[in-house]
Amino acid sequence: MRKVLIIDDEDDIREVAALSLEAVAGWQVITANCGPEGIRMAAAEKPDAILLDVMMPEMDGPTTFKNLEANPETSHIPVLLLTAKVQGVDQRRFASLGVKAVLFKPFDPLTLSEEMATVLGWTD
Amino acid sequence: MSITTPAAKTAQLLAVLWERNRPVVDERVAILESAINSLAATQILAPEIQVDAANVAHKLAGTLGMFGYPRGTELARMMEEVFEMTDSLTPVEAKLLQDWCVELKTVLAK
Repeated sequence: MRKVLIIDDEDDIREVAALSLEAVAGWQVITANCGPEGIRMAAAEKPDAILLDVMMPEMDGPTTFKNLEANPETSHIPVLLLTAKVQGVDQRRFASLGVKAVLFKPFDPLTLSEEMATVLGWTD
Repeated sequence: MSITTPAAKTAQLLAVLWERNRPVVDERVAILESAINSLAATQILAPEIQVDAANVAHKLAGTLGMFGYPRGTELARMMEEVFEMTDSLTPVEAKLLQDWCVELKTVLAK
């Protein structure tokens, strides 16, 4: 079973994303409400992918991603950024970080897992 | 009849999550409304209030569509863009924000 780590400071986003991935795709979901916790969980749980919010207090998504990349235990895990920023300049900045993909809020809970699976090449 | 499809189950659980998160949404709308009323009354907005309002609008933009309120996301996104302006907000912008906030409350009341 696929395991996905969701890192987002917003309770409602975490809850809906988890619901979506669990109920629609049948994936196992673990969650963290901040970057540092997400980094610890990624190293401990070795998820198959990480859905990472961009705007978080304390440590934002891009900084969290750099930390994940710098750690040999987590550098191989594909990261999908999740953002409500829709302006082109923001999109280009996020895409240039080296993440697997940038997904946008608000997402459709019924199709989020399909969108992720396509990006990740999870065809099973 | 029991709900069997993943889509139907997700929709049902989404409705539960919406009700549970509704107080947070209402609180965020109230923060926006307070900032907008203050702007309309005094024609100025303290920078920290403007930043807070932009952040709250950003959060609403990112969540409302997820719960089936795409127009709510559009309105919140337009408000976010106005609050993110570094220049002082004009009376015209204040009026726009007021109108959008009223529409947002109407949309969420449905």
